[in-house]
Parts: sequence; structure tokens; C-alpha cells
Amino acid sequence: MSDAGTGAVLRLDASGPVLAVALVAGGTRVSALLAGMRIATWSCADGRSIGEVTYRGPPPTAAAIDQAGDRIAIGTGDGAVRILDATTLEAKAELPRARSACGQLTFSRDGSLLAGLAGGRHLELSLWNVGTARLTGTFADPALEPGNVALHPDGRTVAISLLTGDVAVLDVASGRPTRTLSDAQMTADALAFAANGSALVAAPYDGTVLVWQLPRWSVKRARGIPGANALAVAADASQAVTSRNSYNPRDTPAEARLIDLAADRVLARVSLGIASHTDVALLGPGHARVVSTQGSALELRDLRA
Amino acid sequence: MSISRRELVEGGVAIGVALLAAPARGASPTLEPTPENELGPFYKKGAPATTNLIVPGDPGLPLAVSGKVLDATGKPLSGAIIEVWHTDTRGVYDLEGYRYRARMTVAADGSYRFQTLMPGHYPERVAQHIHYRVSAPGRKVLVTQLYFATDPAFAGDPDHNYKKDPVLEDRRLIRPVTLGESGGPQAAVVFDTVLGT
Repeated sequence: MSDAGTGAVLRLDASGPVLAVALVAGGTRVSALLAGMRIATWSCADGRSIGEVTYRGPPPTAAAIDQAGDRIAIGTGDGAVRILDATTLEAKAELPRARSACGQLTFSRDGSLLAGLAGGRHLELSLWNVGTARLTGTFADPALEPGNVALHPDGRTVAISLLTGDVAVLDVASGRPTRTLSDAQMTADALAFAANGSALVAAPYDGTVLVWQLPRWSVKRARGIPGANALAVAADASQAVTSRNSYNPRDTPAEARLIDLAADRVLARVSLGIASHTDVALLGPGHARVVSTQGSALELRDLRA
Repeated sequence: MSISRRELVEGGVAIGVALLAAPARGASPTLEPTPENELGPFYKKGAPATTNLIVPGDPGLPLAVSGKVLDATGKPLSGAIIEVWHTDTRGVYDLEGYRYRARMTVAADGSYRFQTLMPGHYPERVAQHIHYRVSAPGRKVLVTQLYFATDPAFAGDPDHNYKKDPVLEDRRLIRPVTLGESGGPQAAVVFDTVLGT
């Protein structure tokens, strides 16, 4: 592994085009969903292949891997959601069906909770306790178009970015919205709670990073990357790393930045060239990792303050 | 002044208030609400109040868009707010600023018009389009998109080819384009919208 700025990169070759990518296990492993529903995993330390398995179940409408890299959630067209072992794809649990097929699945940071957004335009959220395999809450509002979901570590609060730029905050127990955060000008694909639960961080498309400090939800702004679609936040929300893909147009260079949120200062940045997918992880204070993909090629880089 | 106009594509879509269903004698006309179409991730709050979106020096075909905002009885919704946003000719949305973004209030007769440049194509979308978000007190917010019958993506046959763009779910959102030649090429489109309750 080499640092941003040196130009050196760890390159990996997948056995087929990469459809999605995730840094897992604290950024020490990278997992990729490949064409043909194959899931491949490598070590970030030396690029060694850890395994590759092929999913053979019903066609998925959504998939997610937990941050530990141990479990995969697969949603299918009948609203079913299955939890699989990430290494073997052995079925671990079948969760109660969502009312509609999920188009997006998101694990909580510790993997104990799973949120599913229905595939249509209108907000329809399902929440499961993965450990007990129970549906713990639902929320629907046909007037809202959701973007992404973040689960508070306490399991009691969910934040949903909306395509209008607002962020809806829900109380899981009551299934009711408790507040709307209207500070962002554009929607945020990238949204996460700090691990200590002290803040919600969003990287909206307009190139800002917003930090809402709990419990008052007071907001602070920092500069990020326009079009950001991946975000990792320090446990105390003091730093974040964010990245964007090449899109609109396709020749927009992908990029990653490590940011000091309190000082609104970019600690490190790296251009990723043309990339279809990116993901980021914070390895420690002032140390982040980014993976980018194009076709069947993956590239890993580190950023250091 | 000599203006040469021609309808490039006839298509089966009627313009504007021709969305009216045939009213029963003596009854208020009933209009179909304009089909919804997804908001997408590029909406941005706080667009400037303007009817001229053209950025001086930017290349592209000048485009005049006009129409009315109506309720289901055909009554103009004066004071309705229209927000529009689209890409530049290269197919790029302005994320950090407000190029090709505007907010306008419709006139007392429900009419609106704005000047812009024909949007471009971009990788994730097949068809050129302008996003609309239309709101009026007591009405359901309309989120939709305007498409162009002249779009090369439709290969001259929007009836058969509109599904090439998976986001474009309703053929009625594709509108005929009129080309003019006053001081250079320019295009014009009429897009009336009907808000439901």
C-alpha cells in the first residue's frame, strides 16, 4: 500500500466487470460485486485474493455488505431479504418480507440492524433487527423521494436523505418523523452517523459536508467534493473522508479527500482518474483509504494528513 | 420579420391544453394531471428567480419554453411556483452554482416562459430533458420532466422509442419542438402542466 501523493497504487484485477465495491473490516479488505453475481474479496495489505463466490439465488433487487465484511444482505423481487455469510454465501437468516421489493439495503455500523428502501420513487422504509430476524419498524410517505439511509448507533434513530436536499429524521420506536433537517441544498448519497453517536454527517452533491451535532442538531459546514457518493466518518466526527465517481460526464475525474471537519480543512486529496465506483474508509486519525474501479480493475490508495 | 417554422415531429401528443378530456356539456372540463417523473439527484434549493437561463458564451441551441399551470378544471393557478433545472449542452449539471437552474412565478393567467439552451445528453440518461417542480397552495407538488420529440435518442419516432430511456415512463411528456430562424436557429416548446389535488 502506498500513500497519496507518491503516485503508487495497489492494483487488483477482478475476474469480471465490477458492479459495486466496498471497503470492509476497517478498510483492511475490499469486497466487490462482479458481473454474474460473483462476490470477490481481497486483502488491502498485499492485494491477496481472499475468496470469490457466486450467488445462485433469486435475482436480487438490492445487496449490501456489513462493515465487518462478514454478512451480505440480499433483497429479491418478492420483498424477501436474506442474510448470507459473506465468505460462503451460506444462508444465515431470512428476514420478514418488506411490503415492496427493496431497491437499497443498508446495515448499521455494527451490523445489528438493516434498513431497506423500496425500489420505487416513493419513500417506503423497512427496518430489521438482524440478530433476532424481526421487522422492527416501517415508515412510508408517498410525498417523499428518498436518497440514502443512515442508522444511528443506538438503533433508535434513522436519517433519510431526500432528493429535495432535506434529511428526514425518524424515531424507530414510533415510526414517526421527529424533525426535518433543511440545511443541505442538494441531496446526499453519502450520509453517516459518527460511531459515538454524537453527529450525523452528510456530503451533499453540492460539494459541502454538513455536520449536525446531536442532541441539538446544530449544523456546521465544511468543504467536500461536488457529487460525492461515498463517506466515512471518524468515531468522534472530527474527520471524514469522501469520494466521488466519474459521472456526468463520464470523464469527470474521480476524487477523494480527507477532511478535518472542525477546521474545515482538506488534509489530503487524490485524483482517482476515471472510475465507475469508489468507496472510502478511515483507518485512523489522518489516515484514510480509497478504492476505485474501472471495468474489472480496482485501485487502492491511502491518504495521509 | 420573416420566420420560417416547421413542426419537426408531429407525434401523437397534443400540446398543452389539448390534454383536456372532452368535457360533458355544461360541466367543468376535467384535465388529466401531468404525469409525474422522478426528481432525480440534481435538484438544488435556492435557484435564482429568472426567466433567462442562457449563460453568455455557452454553445447550444437557444430554446424558448412556455406554457401554463392549470388545475384539473382548466383554471389557471396564478402564483404557482415553477422550478426548472437541466444540464448544459455537454450534459453536465452545475452542482456548485446555479447555471441552468431557475425559479419563476407564473402570471395571473397561469402562463410562464423562459429562455435557455437545449440540454445535452449524459451517460446515465438516454434522453434530453428539463426537470420541473411545480407547486401551488393547496395542490399536490408536481415533479416531472419535459422531453423533446426532436431528441436524436428517439430516432424520429418517439411513439416507439421513448422507452429507450428507462426513466421516461409516459409518452405524454415528450413535446413537439418548433424550429425558428429569427436571427439564427432557435427552438420552441410548449409545456402546460396540470396539478392534481
